[in-house]
Amino acid sequence: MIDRAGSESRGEAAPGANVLLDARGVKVHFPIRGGFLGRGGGSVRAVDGVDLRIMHGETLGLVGESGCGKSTLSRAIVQLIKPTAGEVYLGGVKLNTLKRGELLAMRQRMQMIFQDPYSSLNARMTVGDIIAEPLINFKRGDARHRRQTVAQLLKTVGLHDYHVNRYPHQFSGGQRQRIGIARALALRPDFVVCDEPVSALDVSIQAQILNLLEQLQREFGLTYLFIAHNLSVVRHICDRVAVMYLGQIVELAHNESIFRTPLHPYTRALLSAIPMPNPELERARKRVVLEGDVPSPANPPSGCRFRTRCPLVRPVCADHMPALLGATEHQVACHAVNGVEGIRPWSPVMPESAPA
Amino acid sequence: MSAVSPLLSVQNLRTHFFTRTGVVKAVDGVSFDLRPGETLGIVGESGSGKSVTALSIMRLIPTPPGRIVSGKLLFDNHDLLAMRKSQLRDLRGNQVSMIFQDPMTSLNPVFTIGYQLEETLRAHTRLRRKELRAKAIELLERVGIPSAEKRLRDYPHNFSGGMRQRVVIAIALACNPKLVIADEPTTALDVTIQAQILDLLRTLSKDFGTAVLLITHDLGVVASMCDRIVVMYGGRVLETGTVDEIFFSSQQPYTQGLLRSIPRMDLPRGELLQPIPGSPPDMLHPPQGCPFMPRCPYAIERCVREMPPLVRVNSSPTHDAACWVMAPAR
Repeated sequence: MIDRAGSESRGEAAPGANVLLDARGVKVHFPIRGGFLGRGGGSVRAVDGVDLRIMHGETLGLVGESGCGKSTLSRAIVQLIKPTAGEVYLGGVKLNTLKRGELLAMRQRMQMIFQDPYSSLNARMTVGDIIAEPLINFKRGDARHRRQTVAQLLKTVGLHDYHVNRYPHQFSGGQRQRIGIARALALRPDFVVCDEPVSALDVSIQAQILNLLEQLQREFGLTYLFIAHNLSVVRHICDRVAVMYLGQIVELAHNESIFRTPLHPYTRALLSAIPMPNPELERARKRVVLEGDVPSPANPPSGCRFRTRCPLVRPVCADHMPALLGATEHQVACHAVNGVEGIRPWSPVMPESAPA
Repeated sequence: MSAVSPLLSVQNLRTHFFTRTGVVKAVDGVSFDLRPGETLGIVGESGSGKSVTALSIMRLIPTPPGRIVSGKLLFDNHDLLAMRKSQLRDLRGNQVSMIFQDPMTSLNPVFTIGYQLEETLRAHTRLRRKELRAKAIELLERVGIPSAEKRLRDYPHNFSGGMRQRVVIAIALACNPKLVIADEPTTALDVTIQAQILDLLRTLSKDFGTAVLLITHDLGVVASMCDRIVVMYGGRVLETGTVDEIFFSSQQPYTQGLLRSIPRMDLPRGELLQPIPGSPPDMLHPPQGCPFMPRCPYAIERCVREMPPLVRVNSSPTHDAACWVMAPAR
């Protein structure tokens, strides 16, 4: 039995009662079998040492490009993948050492919304069955209670109760995403991982779903881990943002801080690369265009992983991996930034100032 | 209008798909011009018909079930709809090329990059073997692929996504076409790679005077790449104009709705976004009048019955909009 009130006293307690999710030193390595690459051993270091604390009621954005490990990290956090190393605490309860039954009980508190509204719903189940499934799995109430809850959830996400007997294929992408959200809310979780929840939707629908997610957060007191590659969306909805590169967090800051004064050279390049729906601004801005491709996570560069593409690279970067340092509002993992004072503030929307 | 005759002229194009469940009028009366050397963006969401328009121009619509039902397609004063297959083959890859979203749609996984580059050159030029190889190397270098000579012997799977797209661009530009049609060329790429590829396209089109027809749903991309924009919705054109006109002086309800609903990095963080209610139309049962009517805050009775024509707005020869309320026909 998981006793929420006493959970703080089990194992190591999370520092500060305000922290809902505490991930420490999380690593996820996927072994590469010898024969495949012609050489023995080695592994894909998808997530390579991540510390992350998410506060009650906040929306933490996790951004990065393909291969950075953001999706893998999110799945390791909710224990869909077993982390290779590290610990994850939800509400003070250490997840990775729980027995199967105990972990199952904890799963009610964390849910996930997926990117693809087409593959994340079972095509053979009615909408009503899809949303009720978590209630059945966790034996929440009888059939009548389930019917009421499903009707209520449909209304909450902006659908109608007459949708309950329809099948996913009868709905549009945006509507399917609403169904996925209703399903995620069925158990009244505390923590919801939103993995690219609007990327697969039409532009004019994205705003509807984003507004819904914000409204639900207020109504249900939810905490979000919001994964996205669209930084405009992240800026709109997230309180804090963590930038990942090749399995590590390179910058972690409050929203205003990171978008107004991005410090890590990768973050700057990322922000600089986003084309903005404003032709005047586009004509005036100076871009940081990164050379080359992302190195393989099976064979990351020594020291700082970004050094092979970094405009600020110096000798120390090859020898020592930079630590995530700085004030709580703004942390960076970069030798150049942490060692050098007076970095000129740079904003991607101010055409006059180019990055340092 | 400018005195220069357009490189591409699409007039009242209608491309329909005849399926078992009904007729999908994917493109239903689309007209626009593209001038030599210009970059024209077609912006739209799913079901807008933008991709079908591009495929229609290239005569790549699978027939059956699709068919160009009516309209005129003029490229460099040639009537594309009257051409024979052999004439179209001469045109494609030579005068008009296409770049798709997924590079693996265009690249054959079992042939080397070098072979595929040379294939285009062999089809449209009279270069001999040594010259072909030299030209292939030059093309790869032009698109920024390091160690070009070595990479001729590589296969598509030896390249990353961004590099593959560069190869596709190299092939598309091999014969110096007058027009390149790019259908969501960077949608599948990471944002930093997207910036590289768009930069490349911009530079190459400027250096070689290539016109680009850029199809995308990303308003940021069109703002950074295009001279003029065509806004499509439900198989129709709702507005055309220069990039500044579309972004700064549009009165068209769909365009405005779109611009207001996207989170903007260039504006202060707002409270809630202003979404467009409803969803894009079901093209199996398109509405009779304006396709945007069900979602339009200004809709009047006429919008239900009749599709508004494109009329000149803001006294600008380059700015046309279709809307009974905001751009009433005289």
